[in-house]
Amino acid sequence: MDNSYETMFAKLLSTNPDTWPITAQIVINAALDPQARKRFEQFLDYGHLLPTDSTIEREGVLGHIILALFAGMTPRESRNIPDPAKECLAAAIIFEEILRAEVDMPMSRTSAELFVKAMNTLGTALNGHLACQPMMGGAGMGIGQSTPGLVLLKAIGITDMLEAVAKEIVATRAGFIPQDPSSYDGQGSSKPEGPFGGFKFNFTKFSDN
Amino acid sequence: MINSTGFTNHGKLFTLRDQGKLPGFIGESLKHAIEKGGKLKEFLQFSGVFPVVNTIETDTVFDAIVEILVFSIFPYAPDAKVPNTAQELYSAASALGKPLDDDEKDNHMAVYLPEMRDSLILIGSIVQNCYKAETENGDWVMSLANPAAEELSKISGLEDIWIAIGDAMNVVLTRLQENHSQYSEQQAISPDENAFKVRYQ
Repeated sequence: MDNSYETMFAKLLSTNPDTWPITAQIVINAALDPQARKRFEQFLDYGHLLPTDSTIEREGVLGHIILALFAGMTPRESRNIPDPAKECLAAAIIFEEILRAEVDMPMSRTSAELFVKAMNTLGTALNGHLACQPMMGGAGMGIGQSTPGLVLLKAIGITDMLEAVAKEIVATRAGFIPQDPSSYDGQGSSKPEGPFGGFKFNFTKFSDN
Repeated sequence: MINSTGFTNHGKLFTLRDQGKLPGFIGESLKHAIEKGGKLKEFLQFSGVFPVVNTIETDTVFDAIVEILVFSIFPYAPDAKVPNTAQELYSAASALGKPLDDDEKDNHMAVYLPEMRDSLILIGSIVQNCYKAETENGDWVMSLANPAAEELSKISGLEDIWIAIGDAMNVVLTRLQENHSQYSEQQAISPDENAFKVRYQ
């Protein structure tokens, strides 16, 4: 794990959602929509990664997973480009440290252990298949999926949530969906590509927050 | 069903299989992997890329998928380059996406080509992030890429395949002890969980 990676998850976790950057509020609220997260929840259940004995614990773990996942797709004020896979792995490490330190945490120990497993699973699955890229000469950020990863991301339910998020960022004018996925060009060979071209955020939105 | 992959590692192993020259430990690995492939098949079904009904035809398709996977893991010869398993699987998927010739169109199994293609891509995308192949003191080793990859390997059923291949190695080792001449060209080394090792001689 690269120690220089700027993690957003810990910042969001420790602050009031009302104070989050508007881009974080938009993506996380859209992903949390029951219809958008349905397939994702099915995948987590399939992998036995969610508590089954308490609705409150279950919602808590799911909420934290989605928070970490989309923190990895939230633009930073620093304009550093996030990495969804690294953000998931960082979230797992943060909770492993909390578990080791035996300090208060927002969920039971068993739920926290499930959270760690889920974040490791997602961090592994997303690596190289879901990527953020600088765009518009650094004035914006795009998110896209790799062609070989499309089947896996769909199976996990990431694609459904991304589509919901994309619709929301367009509706709230926080960004837009490029008409031509080739508009990711110019950022190296690892650019996201595929039938779903992802979406863009405009960094100027930070000034509205 | 695979006929345009002659330059790939798995393509060369298909040729060896057709010539009856498949190395014994690879055949044994394939047998074990098919036997223990239930969880992988279940994951493919959950993912919506493989038929949920179990018939003789779908069993045949699944066996073919596992065959391509196993043939994408082992180098086809002692001096061959270590295959990039994920790229091998993508390459096999790509070959399946090409237009069918007349003979292929007449094959009633051809209706399963899209499922086979998507299954190979899905497995490839997981293998790419979960496993690494390397040479270690002259031995060829395939193992989990890092501890964080363990859960996805387990959920996808690939862990069962790796364990099955490890079991196959043990079977081959036992046979080697009984009859050294049978597998003289390659030697299987006993594996750990989620890793296996082969010494090519």
